Amino acid sequence: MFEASLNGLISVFTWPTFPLMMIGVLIGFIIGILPGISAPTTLALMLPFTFHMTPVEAFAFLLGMLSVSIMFGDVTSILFGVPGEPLAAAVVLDGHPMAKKGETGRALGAALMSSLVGAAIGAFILAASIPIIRPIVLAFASPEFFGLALLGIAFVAALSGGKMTKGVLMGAVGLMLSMIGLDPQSGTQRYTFGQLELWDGIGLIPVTVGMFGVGELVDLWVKQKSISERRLGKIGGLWQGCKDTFIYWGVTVRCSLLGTFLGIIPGLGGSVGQWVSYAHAVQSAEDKGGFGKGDVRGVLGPGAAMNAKEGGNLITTVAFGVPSSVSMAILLGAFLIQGLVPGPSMLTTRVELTLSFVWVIIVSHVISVALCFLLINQMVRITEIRSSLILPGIVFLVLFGGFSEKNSIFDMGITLVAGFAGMIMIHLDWPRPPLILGLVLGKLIENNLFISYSRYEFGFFTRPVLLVIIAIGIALVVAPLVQERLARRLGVKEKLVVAEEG
Amino acid sequence: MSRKKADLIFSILILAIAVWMVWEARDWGFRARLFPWAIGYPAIGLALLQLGFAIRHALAPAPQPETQRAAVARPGAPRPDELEAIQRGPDAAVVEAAVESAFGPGSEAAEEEEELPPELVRRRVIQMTAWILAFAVGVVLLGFKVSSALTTFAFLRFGAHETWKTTFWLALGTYLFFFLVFDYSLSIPLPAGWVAESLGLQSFDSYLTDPVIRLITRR
Repeated sequence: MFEASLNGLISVFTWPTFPLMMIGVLIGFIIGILPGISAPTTLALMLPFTFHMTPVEAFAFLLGMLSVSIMFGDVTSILFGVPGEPLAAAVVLDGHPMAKKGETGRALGAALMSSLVGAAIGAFILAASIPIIRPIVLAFASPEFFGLALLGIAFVAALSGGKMTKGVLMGAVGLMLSMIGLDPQSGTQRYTFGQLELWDGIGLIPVTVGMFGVGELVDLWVKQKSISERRLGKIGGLWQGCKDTFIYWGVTVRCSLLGTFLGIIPGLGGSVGQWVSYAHAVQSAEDKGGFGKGDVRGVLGPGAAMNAKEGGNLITTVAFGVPSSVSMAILLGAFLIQGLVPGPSMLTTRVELTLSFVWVIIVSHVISVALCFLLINQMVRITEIRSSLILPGIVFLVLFGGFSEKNSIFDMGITLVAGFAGMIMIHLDWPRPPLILGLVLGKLIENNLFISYSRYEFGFFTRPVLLVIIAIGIALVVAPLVQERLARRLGVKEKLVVAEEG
Repeated sequence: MSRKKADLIFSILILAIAVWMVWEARDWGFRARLFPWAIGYPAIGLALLQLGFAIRHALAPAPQPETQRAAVARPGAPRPDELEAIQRGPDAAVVEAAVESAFGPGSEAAEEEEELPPELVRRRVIQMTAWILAFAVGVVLLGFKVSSALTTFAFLRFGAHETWKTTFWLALGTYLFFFLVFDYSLSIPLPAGWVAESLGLQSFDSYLTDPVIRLITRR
C-alpha cells in the first residue's frame, strides 16, 4: 500500500501529468470564480480533451479542476456575497459580512486554508478506506453490481432536487438511450432507425455536453452581466485567516470529518452538507452572537467540509460505481472513456491510479493556496469579465464537444437536440443528472444483468445482499411519496385544529 | 402554453417513448430484449404515475405564494430540502437568522439580483437559441476553424455590440485556439465544411496557414 501510494505521488509529478493538472487548476480557478458556469458543466466540456490522455493524466486534469473550482467558489461568496459555485453558498453567511467589515483578506485566507485542510483530510480518508472497502467490494458479484448501479441512479435522482418520480424516470430514459445501437450480446440493431451513425450508440459526451452546456449558455445570455461592476481594493491579511484555521482547529477538523462522511452518503454530500457543517460550527461555538455578522468560524466550517467531501464522494464512486454528486456522475463518464470500470479493479490492479487521485486533490489545493498568496489581487480581476465575451468560446466548446467523440457532425446534432431537451427539462423542473448517469451506467448494468441471468437465471434476485440493495432503492423512491402524503394529512389536520380553535 | 400543460405534455411524451421502446423490442431475441424490457416495463409504470401527478397538478388551483420560502428564494440561498436540514439541526434559530440576513429581502444578494421582466427573458432565450443554431450552421457550412472566427466576430459585433477592437482580437483568438490546439497540436481531423467540400477545396484557411507553418518549421 505504501509503495502504491508513493508511486501514485510520483505519477502526479511526471511529464505531462503535472502540467495538465496545472492547466486543470487554472481552469478550475476561473470557473470557480465565475458564477455563471458550474463545475459539472465545465467537467462535461473538458471530457473531450481527455481522449488523448492516459488515465493518470486525465484524472489529474479533471480532478485538479474539480477540487479547485469548489475551493475558489468561496472567493466570490466572500467578496460579493454571490456564490461562485452552488456549494459555496454557506460561506456567504459569515464570509461576506467579514469582507464588509474590512476583513476580506482574513476571510479569504480562512476559506482557502480550511479548504486545503479539509481536502487533505478527505483525501487521507479516501486512501485509508481502501483496505477496509476492498474485501467488501471483492465479495460482490455481477448481481450485486447490477443492483448497486441501479441504486446509484436512484440516489442521484434523489439528490437532483424536484420530484423523485421525475428523477427516477429520467434515469430510466438515460438507460433507454444507452440501449440504442448494436446489442452487445447478439448484435441485434436496437432503435437505430437504420442509421449507420447510431450503430455505435449515442455518445456520452454529446449528450452530457449538450444537456449541461446549452442551458448555461442561454442563462449567461439572459443575465448578461459580470459579477463585479466595481473595482476592488487591495486585498491583504491572508495570513491571519490561515492562522485562524489552526487557532480554531477543532472546528476545521470536525467539519472536515463531517464533510467526508456526508460525502460518502449519496444525496447528502452535495449542497446539504455545507449547511449542516455551518450549523455544526454554530452549535460547537460557545459564543454564538457573531455568527451571521462575520465570525471566521462560519467560514472555516463550510470551507473545510465542502472540500473534504470530494474524498468521501470518490470512495463510493471508485469502489462501487455509485456517484454521490452530479460532478461525480460526470467523472464516472470519464472512467468509461478511459476504459476503466469502477469496482474491484480500482482497488486491486489499478490501486496506484486510485491513490494518485488522493495526491491530485492534495497537490492541486497546495498549489492553489500558494498561487492565491502570490496573485490574489490580479486573480479577482476575472470577476470583471462580461459574460458576452466568453459566450462564443463556450458555444464552440459545446459544439466541438459533441463532434469530438467520433469526429462526427451527426453527433454535433445530437448535442444540440440534447441541449434543447435540457433547456425544456430545466424549465419544467425535470432533473438532468439521472439521465446522464443512466446513459453512463447503461452498458455496465446490461452487462451485469446478462451475466447474472446467464449464471443464476432469475434466481439471482434471491441473493441476500441484492435484496438489501433493492430494499434500499425502493425505500428511497417510496419514502418521499409517503412523507409528502403524511405531511399533507398532518397539514390538513393542523388547519382543522386551527379552524376549530379560531 | 402554461407550465403545467407543458409538464403534462412532456410526461405524455416520456410515457409514449417508454411504450414505444418496449413495443419495438417485441420481435427481438431474448438476449436483445432482456434489458429493454427489464427497464421498459418499470419505466412505463413510473411514467403512468408521473402522468397521474401531472394531471392532478394541472387540474389543481394555483397555490398561494409561500412567504417563508419566498423570503430566501435568492441565488445561492438554500433550496427547500436544504432549508429543512437547517431547520432540523441544532441552533436552528442562529443559522436561520444568518441565512435570512445573507439572502433574505433587503440583503445585498436580493438587491443585486433584480428581477428581469418575463418578456425580456423570453426574447433573450430566443436570441441565444438562434445564435447557437447559427454557430452550428456555420460549422456545417464552413468547418470549425473558419466559422469560429466568423461567427464569433458576428456574435460579438452584432449580437453583443462589443467594440471593433475587442471583436477582432477575440475572433482571432478563437480561431488561433482551434487551429493551434485541435488542428496543429492534437491533429484532430476538423471538417472543412460543406462549402469547401462542394468546391473541392482542402479548406479555406489552409491556403493561408500552410505557408506560414512551413516558413516557421523550416526556420
